[in-house]
Amino acid sequence: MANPAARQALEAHQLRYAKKGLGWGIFSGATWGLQGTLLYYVALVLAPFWMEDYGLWLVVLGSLAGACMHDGFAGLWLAIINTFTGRWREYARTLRTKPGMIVCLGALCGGPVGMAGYLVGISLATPTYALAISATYPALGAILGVFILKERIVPRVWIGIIACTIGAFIVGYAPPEGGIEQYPYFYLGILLSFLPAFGWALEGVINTYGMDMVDPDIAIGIRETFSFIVMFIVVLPIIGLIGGEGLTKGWEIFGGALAAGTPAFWVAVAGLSGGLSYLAWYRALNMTGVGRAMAFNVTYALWSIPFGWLLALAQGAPYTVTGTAIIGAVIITTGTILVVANPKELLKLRN
Amino acid sequence: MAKNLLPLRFRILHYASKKDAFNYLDLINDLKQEYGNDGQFNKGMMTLHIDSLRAVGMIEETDVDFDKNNELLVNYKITDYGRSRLSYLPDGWK
Repeated sequence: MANPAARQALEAHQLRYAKKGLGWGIFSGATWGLQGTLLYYVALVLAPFWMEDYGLWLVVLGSLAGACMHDGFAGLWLAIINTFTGRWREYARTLRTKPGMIVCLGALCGGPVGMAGYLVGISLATPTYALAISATYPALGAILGVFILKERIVPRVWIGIIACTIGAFIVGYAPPEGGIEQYPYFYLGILLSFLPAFGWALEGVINTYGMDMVDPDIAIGIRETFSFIVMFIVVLPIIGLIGGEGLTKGWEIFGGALAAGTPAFWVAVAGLSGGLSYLAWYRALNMTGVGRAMAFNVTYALWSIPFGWLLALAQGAPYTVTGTAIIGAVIITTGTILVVANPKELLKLRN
Repeated sequence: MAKNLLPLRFRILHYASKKDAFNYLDLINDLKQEYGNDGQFNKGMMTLHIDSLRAVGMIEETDVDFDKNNELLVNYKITDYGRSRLSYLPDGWK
Protein backbone atom coordinates (compact mmCIF):
# COMPACT_ATOMS: atom_id res chain seq x y z
CA MET A 1 0.00 0.00 0.00
CA ALA A 2 2.85 2.31 -0.83
CA ASN A 3 0.89 4.99 -2.64
CA PRO A 4 -1.70 6.79 -0.45
CA ALA A 5 -3.12 8.69 -3.44
CA ALA A 6 -3.70 5.41 -5.30
CA ARG A 7 -5.30 3.88 -2.19
CA GLN A 8 -7.63 6.88 -1.94
CA ALA A 9 -8.54 6.60 -5.63
CA LEU A 10 -9.28 2.88 -5.16
CA GLU A 11 -11.55 3.60 -2.18
CA ALA A 12 -13.40 6.20 -4.26
CA HIS A 13 -13.77 3.63 -7.05
CA GLN A 14 -15.14 0.99 -4.64
CA LEU A 15 -17.56 3.49 -3.07
CA ARG A 16 -18.83 4.46 -6.53
CA TYR A 17 -19.34 0.77 -7.27
CA ALA A 18 -21.36 0.20 -4.07
CA LYS A 19 -23.43 3.35 -4.71
CA LYS A 20 -24.19 2.09 -8.21
CA GLY A 21 -25.42 -1.08 -6.49
CA LEU A 22 -27.87 0.99 -4.42
CA GLY A 23 -29.05 2.64 -7.63
CA TRP A 24 -29.66 -0.78 -9.21
CA GLY A 25 -31.57 -1.83 -6.05
CA ILE A 26 -33.94 1.15 -6.29
CA PHE A 27 -34.32 0.63 -10.05
CA SER A 28 -35.22 -3.04 -9.46
CA GLY A 29 -38.02 -2.03 -7.07
CA ALA A 30 -39.46 0.61 -9.41
CA THR A 31 -39.40 -1.62 -12.51
CA TRP A 32 -41.03 -4.52 -10.62
CA GLY A 33 -43.81 -2.20 -9.44
CA LEU A 34 -44.26 -1.03 -13.04
CA GLN A 35 -44.25 -4.60 -14.36
CA GLY A 36 -47.05 -5.77 -12.01
CA THR A 37 -49.30 -2.80 -12.73
CA LEU A 38 -48.65 -2.95 -16.51
CA LEU A 39 -49.71 -6.59 -16.54
CA TYR A 40 -52.89 -5.96 -14.54
CA TYR A 41 -54.14 -2.67 -15.98
CA VAL A 42 -52.99 -3.05 -19.60
CA ALA A 43 -52.04 -6.60 -20.67
CA LEU A 44 -54.15 -9.11 -18.73
CA VAL A 45 -57.43 -7.23 -19.29
CA LEU A 46 -57.14 -8.00 -23.00
CA ALA A 47 -58.58 -11.09 -24.70
CA PRO A 48 -57.65 -13.92 -24.73
CA PHE A 49 -55.93 -13.48 -21.33
CA TRP A 50 -59.25 -12.34 -19.89
CA MET A 51 -62.82 -12.34 -21.20
CA GLU A 52 -66.14 -11.34 -19.67
CA ASP A 53 -67.46 -14.92 -19.63
CA TYR A 54 -64.34 -16.53 -18.11
CA GLY A 55 -64.90 -18.62 -14.98
CA LEU A 56 -62.30 -18.89 -12.22
CA TRP A 57 -60.21 -21.61 -13.92
CA LEU A 58 -60.00 -19.70 -17.18
CA VAL A 59 -58.96 -16.54 -15.32
CA VAL A 60 -56.26 -18.62 -13.61
CA LEU A 61 -55.18 -20.21 -16.91
CA GLY A 62 -55.16 -16.81 -18.66
CA SER A 63 -52.96 -15.37 -15.89
CA LEU A 64 -50.62 -18.37 -16.10
CA ALA A 65 -50.33 -17.96 -19.88
CA GLY A 66 -49.46 -14.30 -19.17
CA ALA A 67 -46.86 -15.31 -16.55
CA CYS A 68 -45.34 -17.83 -18.98
CA MET A 69 -45.19 -15.29 -21.81
CA HIS A 70 -43.76 -12.66 -19.42
CA ASP A 71 -40.86 -14.91 -18.46
CA GLY A 72 -40.36 -15.91 -22.10
CA PHE A 73 -40.04 -12.29 -23.21
CA ALA A 74 -37.88 -11.41 -20.18
CA GLY A 75 -35.57 -14.32 -21.10
CA LEU A 76 -35.45 -13.12 -24.71
CA TRP A 77 -34.60 -9.51 -23.78
CA LEU A 78 -31.90 -10.70 -21.40
CA ALA A 79 -30.44 -13.00 -24.09
CA ILE A 80 -30.25 -9.99 -26.42
CA ILE A 81 -28.53 -7.88 -23.72
CA ASN A 82 -26.08 -10.70 -22.99
CA THR A 83 -25.33 -11.15 -26.69
CA PHE A 84 -24.65 -7.44 -27.12
CA THR A 85 -22.25 -7.47 -24.16
CA GLY A 86 -20.39 -10.44 -25.65
CA ARG A 87 -21.52 -13.10 -23.20
CA TRP A 88 -23.82 -15.47 -25.11
CA ARG A 89 -21.30 -18.32 -24.81
CA GLU A 90 -21.53 -18.03 -21.00
CA TYR A 91 -25.01 -19.66 -20.99
CA ALA A 92 -23.71 -23.12 -21.98
CA ARG A 93 -20.54 -22.74 -19.90
CA THR A 94 -22.59 -21.86 -16.80
CA LEU A 95 -25.12 -24.67 -17.30
CA ARG A 96 -22.26 -27.18 -17.21
CA THR A 97 -21.40 -26.15 -13.62
CA LYS A 98 -23.01 -26.98 -10.29
CA PRO A 99 -23.94 -23.34 -9.47
CA GLY A 100 -25.54 -23.15 -12.94
CA MET A 101 -27.76 -26.13 -12.09
CA ILE A 102 -28.58 -24.50 -8.73
CA VAL A 103 -29.83 -21.43 -10.63
CA CYS A 104 -32.22 -23.75 -12.51
CA LEU A 105 -33.39 -25.37 -9.27
CA GLY A 106 -34.00 -21.91 -7.79
CA ALA A 107 -35.84 -20.95 -10.98
CA LEU A 108 -38.32 -23.80 -10.37
CA CYS A 109 -39.30 -22.19 -7.06
CA GLY A 110 -39.19 -18.62 -8.31
CA GLY A 111 -40.76 -19.21 -11.71
CA PRO A 112 -43.51 -21.85 -11.92
CA VAL A 113 -44.36 -21.52 -8.20
CA GLY A 114 -43.54 -17.85 -7.56
CA MET A 115 -44.43 -16.12 -10.82
CA ALA A 116 -47.51 -18.28 -11.38
CA GLY A 117 -48.94 -17.52 -7.93
CA TYR A 118 -47.91 -13.88 -8.31
CA LEU A 119 -49.80 -13.30 -11.55
CA VAL A 120 -52.92 -15.21 -10.48
CA GLY A 121 -52.77 -13.20 -7.23
CA ILE A 122 -52.55 -9.93 -9.19
CA SER A 123 -55.50 -10.95 -11.39
CA LEU A 124 -57.75 -11.89 -8.48
CA ALA A 125 -56.71 -9.39 -5.79
CA THR A 126 -55.24 -6.46 -7.89
CA PRO A 127 -51.55 -5.42 -7.93
CA THR A 128 -50.92 -3.37 -4.77
CA TYR A 129 -52.57 -6.07 -2.60
CA ALA A 130 -50.76 -8.99 -4.27
CA LEU A 131 -47.41 -7.17 -4.44
CA ALA A 132 -47.60 -6.18 -0.76
CA ILE A 133 -48.26 -9.79 0.33
CA SER A 134 -45.49 -11.11 -1.95
CA ALA A 135 -43.09 -8.54 -0.44
CA THR A 136 -43.11 -10.56 2.79
CA TYR A 137 -40.72 -13.04 1.11
CA PRO A 138 -37.64 -11.95 3.09
CA ALA A 139 -39.56 -12.50 6.36
CA LEU A 140 -40.50 -16.00 5.19
CA GLY A 141 -36.90 -16.44 3.99
CA ALA A 142 -35.64 -15.60 7.49
CA ILE A 143 -38.00 -18.21 8.99
CA LEU A 144 -37.01 -20.83 6.36
CA GLY A 145 -33.36 -19.97 7.09
CA VAL A 146 -33.87 -21.09 10.71
CA PHE A 147 -34.98 -24.53 9.57
CA ILE A 148 -32.78 -25.06 6.50
CA LEU A 149 -29.62 -23.05 7.20
CA LYS A 150 -29.85 -23.22 11.04
CA GLU A 151 -29.69 -19.42 11.22
CA ARG A 152 -30.65 -17.46 14.34
CA ILE A 153 -33.15 -14.61 14.27
CA VAL A 154 -32.10 -11.43 16.10
CA PRO A 155 -34.70 -9.15 17.84
CA ARG A 156 -34.68 -6.54 15.01
CA VAL A 157 -35.66 -9.28 12.53
CA TRP A 158 -38.43 -10.55 14.85
CA ILE A 159 -39.91 -7.04 14.96
CA GLY A 160 -39.78 -6.96 11.15
CA ILE A 161 -41.48 -10.36 10.86
CA ILE A 162 -44.24 -9.29 13.28
CA ALA A 163 -44.72 -6.02 11.33
CA CYS A 164 -45.00 -8.02 8.08
CA THR A 165 -47.63 -10.29 9.64
CA ILE A 166 -49.68 -7.32 10.91
CA GLY A 167 -49.31 -5.57 7.52
CA ALA A 168 -50.42 -8.73 5.69
CA PHE A 169 -53.55 -8.93 7.89
CA ILE A 170 -54.36 -5.27 7.15
CA VAL A 171 -53.83 -5.68 3.37
CA GLY A 172 -55.77 -8.94 3.23
CA TYR A 173 -58.59 -7.83 5.55
CA ALA A 174 -60.84 -6.13 2.99
CA PRO A 175 -61.07 -6.06 -0.82
CA PRO A 176 -60.49 -2.91 -2.93
CA GLU A 177 -63.30 -0.36 -3.37
CA GLY A 178 -66.24 -2.09 -4.99
CA GLY A 179 -66.07 -4.85 -2.42
CA ILE A 180 -66.45 -8.58 -2.79
CA GLU A 181 -69.07 -8.14 -5.57
CA GLN A 182 -66.42 -6.56 -7.82
CA TYR A 183 -63.60 -8.85 -6.67
CA PRO A 184 -65.31 -12.17 -5.86
CA TYR A 185 -62.02 -14.12 -5.61
CA PHE A 186 -60.15 -11.46 -3.61
CA TYR A 187 -59.34 -13.72 -0.62
CA LEU A 188 -58.21 -16.56 -2.91
CA GLY A 189 -55.97 -14.00 -4.63
CA ILE A 190 -54.49 -12.95 -1.28
CA LEU A 191 -53.87 -16.61 -0.39
CA LEU A 192 -52.19 -17.26 -3.75
CA SER A 193 -50.03 -14.14 -3.29
CA PHE A 194 -48.25 -16.04 -0.50
CA LEU A 195 -47.01 -18.50 -3.17
CA PRO A 196 -44.51 -15.98 -4.63
CA ALA A 197 -43.45 -15.08 -1.09
CA PHE A 198 -42.70 -18.79 -0.43
CA GLY A 199 -41.27 -19.40 -3.91
CA TRP A 200 -38.93 -16.42 -3.84
CA ALA A 201 -37.89 -17.08 -0.23
CA LEU A 202 -36.99 -20.67 -1.14
CA GLU A 203 -35.22 -19.46 -4.30
CA GLY A 204 -33.16 -17.11 -2.13
CA VAL A 205 -32.19 -19.90 0.26
CA ILE A 206 -31.24 -22.23 -2.64
CA ASN A 207 -29.24 -19.48 -4.33
CA THR A 208 -27.00 -19.09 -1.29
CA TYR A 209 -25.22 -22.20 -2.60
CA GLY A 210 -22.71 -20.89 -5.10
CA MET A 211 -24.85 -18.17 -6.65
CA ASP A 212 -22.26 -15.47 -5.93
CA MET A 213 -19.85 -17.11 -8.40
CA VAL A 214 -22.22 -16.82 -11.34
CA ASP A 215 -22.32 -13.69 -13.49
CA PRO A 216 -25.67 -12.20 -12.37
CA ASP A 217 -26.68 -11.18 -15.91
CA ILE A 218 -26.23 -14.78 -17.09
CA ALA A 219 -27.91 -16.23 -13.98
CA ILE A 220 -31.07 -14.20 -14.53
CA GLY A 221 -31.03 -14.97 -18.26
CA ILE A 222 -30.97 -18.70 -17.48
CA ARG A 223 -33.58 -18.33 -14.75
CA GLU A 224 -36.17 -16.56 -16.90
CA THR A 225 -35.67 -18.88 -19.89
CA PHE A 226 -35.82 -22.05 -17.76
CA SER A 227 -38.93 -20.76 -15.97
CA PHE A 228 -40.61 -20.09 -19.35
CA ILE A 229 -39.82 -23.61 -20.60
CA VAL A 230 -41.19 -25.32 -17.45
CA MET A 231 -44.32 -23.15 -17.38
CA PHE A 232 -45.01 -23.76 -21.07
CA ILE A 233 -44.35 -27.50 -21.13
CA VAL A 234 -45.53 -28.52 -17.64
CA VAL A 235 -47.63 -25.91 -15.83
CA LEU A 236 -50.01 -24.75 -18.60
CA PRO A 237 -51.16 -28.25 -19.67
CA ILE A 238 -51.38 -29.63 -16.11
CA ILE A 239 -53.42 -26.69 -14.76
CA GLY A 240 -55.62 -26.90 -17.89
CA LEU A 241 -56.25 -30.58 -17.20
CA ILE A 242 -56.89 -30.13 -13.46
CA GLY A 243 -59.34 -27.30 -14.13
CA GLY A 244 -61.21 -29.40 -16.71
CA GLU A 245 -60.37 -26.97 -19.52
CA GLY A 246 -58.26 -29.50 -21.40
CA LEU A 247 -54.60 -30.11 -22.03
CA THR A 248 -54.20 -27.50 -24.73
CA LYS A 249 -56.34 -24.60 -23.48
CA GLY A 250 -53.37 -22.77 -21.88
CA TRP A 251 -51.40 -23.05 -25.13
CA GLU A 252 -54.44 -21.80 -27.06
CA ILE A 253 -54.60 -18.68 -24.87
CA PHE A 254 -50.82 -18.23 -25.28
CA GLY A 255 -51.03 -18.65 -29.07
CA GLY A 256 -54.14 -16.48 -29.29
CA ALA A 257 -52.40 -13.63 -27.45
CA LEU A 258 -49.42 -13.85 -29.82
CA ALA A 259 -51.70 -13.90 -32.87
CA ALA A 260 -53.76 -10.95 -31.59
CA GLY A 261 -50.55 -8.90 -31.31
CA THR A 262 -51.55 -6.16 -28.85
CA PRO A 263 -51.84 -8.39 -25.72
CA ALA A 264 -48.48 -10.01 -26.51
CA PHE A 265 -46.95 -6.57 -27.16
CA TRP A 266 -47.91 -5.35 -23.68
CA VAL A 267 -46.66 -8.56 -22.05
CA ALA A 268 -43.41 -8.01 -23.97
CA VAL A 269 -43.19 -4.46 -22.52
CA ALA A 270 -43.94 -5.81 -19.02
CA GLY A 271 -41.36 -8.57 -19.68
CA LEU A 272 -38.78 -5.90 -20.47
CA SER A 273 -39.60 -4.12 -17.20
CA GLY A 274 -39.59 -7.45 -15.29
CA GLY A 275 -36.37 -8.62 -16.96
CA LEU A 276 -34.60 -5.33 -16.23
CA SER A 277 -35.90 -5.49 -12.67
CA TYR A 278 -34.39 -8.95 -12.12
CA LEU A 279 -31.17 -7.91 -13.85
CA ALA A 280 -30.93 -4.86 -11.58
CA TRP A 281 -31.78 -6.98 -8.53
CA TYR A 282 -29.11 -9.62 -9.21
CA ARG A 283 -26.55 -6.89 -9.96
CA ALA A 284 -27.45 -5.03 -6.76
CA LEU A 285 -27.01 -8.28 -4.78
CA ASN A 286 -23.51 -8.60 -6.20
CA MET A 287 -22.54 -4.96 -5.83
CA THR A 288 -23.90 -3.86 -2.49
CA GLY A 289 -24.81 -6.96 -0.47
CA VAL A 290 -28.00 -8.95 0.11
CA GLY A 291 -29.41 -6.78 2.94
CA ARG A 292 -29.23 -3.46 1.14
CA ALA A 293 -30.26 -4.87 -2.24
CA MET A 294 -33.33 -6.57 -0.76
CA ALA A 295 -34.33 -3.51 1.27
CA PHE A 296 -34.53 -1.41 -1.89
CA ASN A 297 -36.03 -4.17 -4.04
CA VAL A 298 -39.01 -4.73 -1.74
CA THR A 299 -40.15 -1.13 -2.19
CA TYR A 300 -41.92 -2.49 -5.30
CA ALA A 301 -45.25 -2.72 -3.44
CA LEU A 302 -45.06 1.03 -2.83
CA TRP A 303 -44.05 1.76 -6.44
CA SER A 304 -47.20 -0.07 -7.56
CA ILE A 305 -49.31 2.71 -5.96
CA PRO A 306 -48.29 5.67 -8.21
CA PHE A 307 -47.85 3.44 -11.28
CA GLY A 308 -51.24 1.78 -10.69
CA TRP A 309 -52.92 5.16 -10.22
CA LEU A 310 -51.36 6.55 -13.43
CA LEU A 311 -52.16 3.46 -15.51
CA ALA A 312 -55.75 3.32 -14.21
CA LEU A 313 -56.11 6.99 -15.14
CA ALA A 314 -54.65 6.38 -18.61
CA GLN A 315 -56.99 3.41 -19.16
CA GLY A 316 -60.03 5.29 -17.84
CA ALA A 317 -60.42 2.56 -15.21
CA PRO A 318 -61.28 3.29 -11.57
CA TYR A 319 -58.39 3.21 -9.09
CA THR A 320 -59.75 1.03 -6.32
CA VAL A 321 -56.87 0.57 -3.85
CA THR A 322 -58.10 1.63 -0.40
CA GLY A 323 -56.25 3.82 2.09
CA THR A 324 -56.16 0.88 4.53
CA ALA A 325 -54.34 -1.27 1.94
CA ILE A 326 -51.79 1.49 1.36
CA ILE A 327 -51.15 1.67 5.13
CA GLY A 328 -50.75 -2.14 5.16
CA ALA A 329 -48.31 -1.98 2.22
CA VAL A 330 -46.24 0.67 4.04
CA ILE A 331 -46.16 -1.51 7.22
CA ILE A 332 -45.08 -4.60 5.22
CA THR A 333 -42.35 -2.67 3.39
CA THR A 334 -41.04 -1.19 6.66
CA GLY A 335 -41.18 -4.62 8.32
CA THR A 336 -39.31 -6.22 5.42
CA ILE A 337 -36.59 -3.56 5.50
CA LEU A 338 -36.16 -4.31 9.23
CA VAL A 339 -35.87 -8.03 8.40
CA VAL A 340 -33.14 -7.60 5.82
CA ALA A 341 -31.03 -4.72 7.13
CA ASN A 342 -30.26 -2.41 10.01
CA PRO A 343 -31.78 0.88 8.78
CA LYS A 344 -28.89 2.82 10.33
CA GLU A 345 -26.41 0.98 8.10
CA LEU A 346 -28.46 1.07 4.90
CA LEU A 347 -26.71 4.07 3.41
CA LYS A 348 -23.44 3.72 5.32
CA LEU A 349 -21.35 2.15 2.57
CA ARG A 350 -17.89 2.72 4.02
CA ASN A 351 -17.26 -0.39 6.09
CA MET B 1 -8.97 -28.30 -25.90
CA ALA B 2 -9.62 -31.24 -23.61
CA LYS B 3 -11.36 -29.34 -20.85
CA ASN B 4 -14.58 -27.40 -21.36
CA LEU B 5 -14.16 -23.67 -20.88
CA LEU B 6 -15.41 -22.39 -17.54
CA PRO B 7 -17.65 -19.34 -17.24
CA LEU B 8 -15.19 -16.41 -17.20
CA ARG B 9 -15.83 -15.55 -13.54
CA PHE B 10 -15.14 -19.15 -12.46
CA ARG B 11 -11.95 -19.08 -14.57
CA ILE B 12 -10.80 -15.83 -12.91
CA LEU B 13 -11.30 -17.43 -9.47
CA HIS B 14 -9.39 -20.53 -10.62
CA TYR B 15 -6.64 -18.27 -12.01
CA ALA B 16 -6.50 -16.38 -8.70
CA SER B 17 -6.02 -19.66 -6.82
CA LYS B 18 -2.84 -20.35 -8.82
CA LYS B 19 -1.23 -16.89 -8.40
CA ASP B 20 0.10 -14.98 -5.40
CA ALA B 21 -1.25 -11.74 -6.93
CA PHE B 22 -2.76 -10.62 -10.22
CA ASN B 23 -4.32 -7.61 -11.93
CA TYR B 24 -6.62 -7.19 -14.94
CA LEU B 25 -3.65 -6.93 -17.33
CA ASP B 26 -2.45 -10.39 -16.24
CA LEU B 27 -5.92 -11.75 -17.01
CA ILE B 28 -5.99 -10.06 -20.43
CA ASN B 29 -2.57 -11.53 -21.28
CA ASP B 30 -2.92 -15.01 -19.81
CA LEU B 31 -6.53 -15.83 -20.72
CA LYS B 32 -6.40 -14.45 -24.25
CA GLN B 33 -5.99 -17.85 -25.82
CA GLU B 34 -9.09 -19.22 -24.06
CA TYR B 35 -11.46 -16.23 -24.06
CA GLY B 36 -9.94 -13.90 -26.67
CA ASN B 37 -12.86 -14.47 -29.06
CA ASP B 38 -15.48 -13.43 -26.48
CA GLY B 39 -17.01 -9.98 -26.91
CA GLN B 40 -16.65 -9.59 -23.14
CA PHE B 41 -12.87 -9.93 -23.35
CA ASN B 42 -12.01 -6.27 -22.77
CA LYS B 43 -10.80 -4.04 -19.97
CA GLY B 44 -14.27 -2.78 -18.99
CA MET B 45 -15.88 -6.19 -18.57
CA MET B 46 -12.78 -7.70 -16.96
CA THR B 47 -12.77 -4.88 -14.39
CA LEU B 48 -16.48 -5.47 -13.78
CA HIS B 49 -15.92 -9.20 -13.12
CA ILE B 50 -13.03 -8.37 -10.75
CA ASP B 51 -15.04 -5.69 -8.90
CA SER B 52 -17.90 -8.14 -8.44
CA LEU B 53 -15.69 -10.97 -7.16
CA ARG B 54 -14.17 -8.47 -4.71
CA ALA B 55 -17.57 -7.15 -3.59
CA VAL B 56 -18.78 -10.67 -2.72
CA GLY B 57 -15.52 -11.33 -0.84
CA MET B 58 -13.86 -13.96 -3.04
CA ILE B 59 -10.79 -11.85 -3.83
CA GLU B 60 -9.18 -8.92 -2.02
CA GLU B 61 -6.70 -6.26 -3.03
CA THR B 62 -3.05 -6.65 -2.03
CA ASP B 63 -1.54 -3.58 -3.61
CA VAL B 64 -2.61 -0.52 -5.55
CA ASP B 65 -0.69 2.04 -7.61
CA PHE B 66 -0.97 4.18 -10.73
CA ASP B 67 0.38 2.84 -14.02
CA LYS B 68 2.37 4.92 -16.50
CA ASN B 69 -0.88 6.32 -17.96
CA ASN B 70 -1.86 7.45 -14.46
CA GLU B 71 -4.64 4.85 -14.29
CA LEU B 72 -5.31 2.76 -11.20
CA LEU B 73 -3.69 -0.66 -11.26
CA VAL B 74 -4.92 -2.92 -8.47
CA ASN B 75 -3.40 -6.26 -7.56
CA TYR B 76 -5.65 -8.90 -6.02
CA LYS B 77 -5.35 -12.27 -4.31
CA ILE B 78 -7.88 -14.97 -3.54
CA THR B 79 -9.47 -15.01 -0.05
CA ASP B 80 -10.17 -18.07 2.12
CA TYR B 81 -13.83 -17.73 1.16
CA GLY B 82 -12.94 -17.67 -2.54
CA ARG B 83 -10.77 -20.75 -2.05
CA SER B 84 -13.69 -22.55 -0.38
CA ARG B 85 -15.80 -21.85 -3.50
CA LEU B 86 -13.29 -23.72 -5.70
CA SER B 87 -15.15 -26.88 -4.69
CA TYR B 88 -17.94 -25.79 -7.06
CA LEU B 89 -15.61 -26.06 -10.07
CA PRO B 90 -16.10 -29.07 -12.36
CA ASP B 91 -13.83 -32.06 -11.57
CA GLY B 92 -11.38 -31.36 -14.42
CA TRP B 93 -10.62 -27.94 -12.94
CA LYS B 94 -10.07 -28.89 -9.31
